[in-house]
Amino acid sequence: MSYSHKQQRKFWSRREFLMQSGGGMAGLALASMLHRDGVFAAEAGSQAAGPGGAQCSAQLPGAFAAKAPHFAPRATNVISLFMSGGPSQVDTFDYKPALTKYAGQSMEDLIGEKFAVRQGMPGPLMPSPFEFKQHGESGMYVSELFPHLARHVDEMAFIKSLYGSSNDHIQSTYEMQTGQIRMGFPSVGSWVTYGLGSESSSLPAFVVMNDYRGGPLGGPNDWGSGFMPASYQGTLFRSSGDPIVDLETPAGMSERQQRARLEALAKLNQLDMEKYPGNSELAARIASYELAYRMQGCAPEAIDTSSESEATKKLYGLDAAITEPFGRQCLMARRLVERGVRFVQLFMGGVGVQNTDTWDAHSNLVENHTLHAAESDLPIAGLLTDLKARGLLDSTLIVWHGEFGRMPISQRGVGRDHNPGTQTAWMAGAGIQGGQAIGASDEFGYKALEQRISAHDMHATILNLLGLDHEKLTYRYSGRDYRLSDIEGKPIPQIIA
Amino acid sequence: MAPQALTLLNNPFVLRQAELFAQQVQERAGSDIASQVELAYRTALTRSPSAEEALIGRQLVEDGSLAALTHVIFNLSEFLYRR
Repeated sequence: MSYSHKQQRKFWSRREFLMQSGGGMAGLALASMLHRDGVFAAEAGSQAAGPGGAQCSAQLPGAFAAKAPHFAPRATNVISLFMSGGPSQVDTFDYKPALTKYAGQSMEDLIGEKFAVRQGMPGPLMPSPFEFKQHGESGMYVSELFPHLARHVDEMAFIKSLYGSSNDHIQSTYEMQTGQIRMGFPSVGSWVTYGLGSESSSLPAFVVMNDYRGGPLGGPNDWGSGFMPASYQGTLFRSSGDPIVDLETPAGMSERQQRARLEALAKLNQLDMEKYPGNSELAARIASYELAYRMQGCAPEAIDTSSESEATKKLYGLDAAITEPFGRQCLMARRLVERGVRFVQLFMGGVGVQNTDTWDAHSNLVENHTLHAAESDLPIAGLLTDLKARGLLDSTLIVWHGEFGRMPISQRGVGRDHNPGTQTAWMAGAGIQGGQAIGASDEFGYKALEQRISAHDMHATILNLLGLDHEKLTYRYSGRDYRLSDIEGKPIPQIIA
Repeated sequence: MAPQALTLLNNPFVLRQAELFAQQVQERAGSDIASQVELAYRTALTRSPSAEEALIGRQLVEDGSLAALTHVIFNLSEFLYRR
């Protein structure tokens, strides 16, 4: 941020100050981390939390404590790869020869069902313009869009029957993220953080990175904590420039000076808390300052990818312009997971121009999917390879999906409209059984048909792999014990090896 | 969240405003520390500090600077949030 001399001379009103210094200050509404009091007091006289040094990996008082899962987990960390805009299942992983056989025919006539599409201009059945081949020992079909991922099919479990209940981006994104199409519910990352706590005292437990072009539709609610304390929401790292701004202590301020201010701040907020007992937001605010203080010392190393070897950078595609942005995010995800971040979520595709900058291929399927696959195929394959080489793949669950799939019929002859009827998601890592297809869509890839998987089922599966009983992980709100999996989700049984 | 705390702690704009606020308090309250703390609280929070708050405020000014106090006030929960 830079401000002109003239602006700097002006004394700002409280309102102006808040507007200027935050932008998103509404998001500052922090809530309880249910901490014991005296977050700073607990460390009084100790240099333990000072920026830098060996403390970056230590569990210190004041962070989210790690919590024991309900049963032995398959994985301890999650990297969620959210393909914003909605990739087409029938052009990626769900091979449908019937689209060629019935090319140009009316799907409504063939299935005897009228349907509505989101934008209109529906056309006839449209074969995939991309060639499919079988890969790996398992013979999973992958289209030519993903030549690098295709080499990993034996590690990937394809869920070919993930359906949703809205035809709109935002509602569908909320559904895949929270289980509900309405806003205001905790995201899957929040639930995982709530259930398992943090492994790191110096980095947030739940980190989100958006596409370099912008964030997904739905905005911060996509990684919000809903009715849970706001400290469970995802912490957004920037995807270009410095991932975290204002990380450095200002020039001219010593660590001791800053510490004095923080200690005074904690004491004053503590006095406030005594005046308003039960205001757990205050405790969370105190804790967020403590985390901020530690991040100054530990986060610069965590987000600095320059120390990675050339071979590793190449593995993620940092050497090519097309793969560099998402490759950097994938590499960052590995570094964060290595350092104890519980849940990392990367959004691939972001709002600039919706139909070209996300997977939302209404207007030109070939151009759109060719671009986004080229941007993400090698980096994701690199991530799988790297995690495996470092022994992290077994303890890390990788989840890939969008908000919905796309229609098997054409739109304007060249695109595909939204289709919540089915999409293909895949999971890897976490000791899952790779090289398998779970569920199936119908002949045209229009609707989930066999072993239909809802967002609730997917969420129950994720919790299950993390050692959390999705029926026991509840949060009481508005007189009800809410679950991420609601009242109907069930873990996918055959995903476990 | 932590990134917002980082901005309020380290951002040059925030620190500059804390300095300007301190200058304004100094000009109006003079050199008496008790008066400075009182005026800073009344200006930012429309109330006087309690005895304990006044003591913590005094220590911040004595050990650091008036800008240390105004910077801390900018970070107070009471300053940032409506009840």
